[in-house]
Amino acid sequence: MIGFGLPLALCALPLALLPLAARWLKSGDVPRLDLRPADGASRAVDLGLTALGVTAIAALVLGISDPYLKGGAVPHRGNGSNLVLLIDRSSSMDDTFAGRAPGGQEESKSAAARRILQDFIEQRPDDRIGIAAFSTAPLQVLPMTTSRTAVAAAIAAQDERGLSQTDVGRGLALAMEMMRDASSLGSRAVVMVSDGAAVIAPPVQDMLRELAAEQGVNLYWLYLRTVGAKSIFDDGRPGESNTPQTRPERHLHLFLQRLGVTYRAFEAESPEAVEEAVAEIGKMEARPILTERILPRRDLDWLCHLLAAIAAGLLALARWFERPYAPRRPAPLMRPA
Amino acid sequence: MSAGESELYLFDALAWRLARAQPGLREGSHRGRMRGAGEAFADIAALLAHPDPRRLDLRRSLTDPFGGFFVRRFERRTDLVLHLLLDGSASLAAGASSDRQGLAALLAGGLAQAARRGGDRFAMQAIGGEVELLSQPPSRRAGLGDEIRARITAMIPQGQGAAGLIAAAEALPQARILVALVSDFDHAPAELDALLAALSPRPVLPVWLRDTGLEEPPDRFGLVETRDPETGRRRTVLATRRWAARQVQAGRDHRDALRRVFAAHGLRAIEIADSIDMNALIAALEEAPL
Repeated sequence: MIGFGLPLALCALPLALLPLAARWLKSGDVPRLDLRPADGASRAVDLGLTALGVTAIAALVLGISDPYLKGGAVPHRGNGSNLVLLIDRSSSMDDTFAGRAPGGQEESKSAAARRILQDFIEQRPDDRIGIAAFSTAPLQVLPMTTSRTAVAAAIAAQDERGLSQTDVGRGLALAMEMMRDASSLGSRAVVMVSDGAAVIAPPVQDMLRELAAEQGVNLYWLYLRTVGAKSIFDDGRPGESNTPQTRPERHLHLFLQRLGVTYRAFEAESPEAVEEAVAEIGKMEARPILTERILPRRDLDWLCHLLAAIAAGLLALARWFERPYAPRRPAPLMRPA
Repeated sequence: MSAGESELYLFDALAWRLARAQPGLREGSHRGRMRGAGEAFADIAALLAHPDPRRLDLRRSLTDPFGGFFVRRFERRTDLVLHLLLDGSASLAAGASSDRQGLAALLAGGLAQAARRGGDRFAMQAIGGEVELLSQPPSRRAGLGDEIRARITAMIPQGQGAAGLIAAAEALPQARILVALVSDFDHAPAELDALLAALSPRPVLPVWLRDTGLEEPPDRFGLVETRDPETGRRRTVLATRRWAARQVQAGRDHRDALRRVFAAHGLRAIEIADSIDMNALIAALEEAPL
């Protein structure tokens, strides 16, 4: 859509019809033009001069009226999904995969997660992405949006030191709530990145079941396993203690499996493994989606002024080449004898 | 104009001679159809039919087996009207290397002067488009030449086409008239044909005011804005050497086409290019097929 900064100036637009009536070059009388041959080049020049005049005035008036392309959201059919990234902000995320404080060339789990997520969203330009974090309490970081810069900034902002607790249940509930803003078309996915879990209280479990049935999300859990920690896929040796209190991760996995939604867990013990898991999620969550693209406002007046200048320059050139049909030098009436 | 008054006397030598004898009673300098006293022998008639015993043809009367008397009859001279039909359409004012309106004015004045000298009356009509711009009934009064010249010089040419000329031509009398058709002949061959057909039984003296400047535009490169003075149509032209050559060739072809139309009507136009050459004009008039 085109908008105008000074729409009143458009009232002068009929002036552009002036070259249809007034001619640009000074004319000389030549009788019976219809009996004289006219070539194609002359016809083109004739039409071209009129067109140039109209163009010059119209472009100038348009340029003065300050046109611009209105920005705004444009519906866009892309390939991606509605994603909510649920990021664990517990203090253990600040450790490396080896369970130590990061030093030297090692990076912490949260830093690795941030780096890999940044790469991930960069490869998926059509996703609508929301970000939530959880530790002691769930925290909505960024509502669902298509703005890449906002998402990148939100992910980069997750480098503050984490808090102690890990309230997975309410974090998941928040992530699913955020799906209400999602585009109706396309798949919905919650990607949870965490390195641990906690017991989910029964009321929260009920709420999660309801939300999962309502929203129909796909759930991915990227479990950043510290070296030495037990696998979530493993029940452990017989006789070993296997209660929600002792092994919350295992039991969260079991709970999520029973939730009745598409669910997949990835266990990663190194940044490379995390990358593989993220690539896997990317492959699974690439389906047509209707999103919006934000277009910035663009000024067009320079284009109009350029056009007017070119047309005026060509008209000046035409004046330069102007000459009379034949020089007016009347001979004496009587030829001297 | 001060020089012009003397210029008109240069036209005194112009004379025209019609091929056919004209009816008419007024004494003039052209062969008439009336019989009577004169220099040129015409025929013999019975004395009772032409009771002029002074011209009794003795030889014929004596040898007549029935004993009748015969007299000789001679052609009487008669005058005629030189009717100048001036095409005053807007193109008359256009010109590059000639002042066509000035030429027309001088020529009209000169012909009026010559007509007076030759004992003929002079009449004039200037037609612009379908309007009669000027008109002068037949007259022989002194000073008519200067007056006609001044009036044509002051005239503002206007209008387009030959329709007015054709209408005026049709209204002209058929006998005792010589039509001098003065025009730039910026006409299509078909228009000229219609005009000459309208003038048809009358002797016509076409005078063609040509302008070599308009016929041969210079071949300098440039943009030329042309305006048709009759229709007011304007056209921008890209002037190049090729264009100029094409214009010259087209003009030549057009003039040839007009000459063929004249020839088809048994006429030959007197072409005046840019200015009047008096000797050429006198010679052309002598030879004009009238």
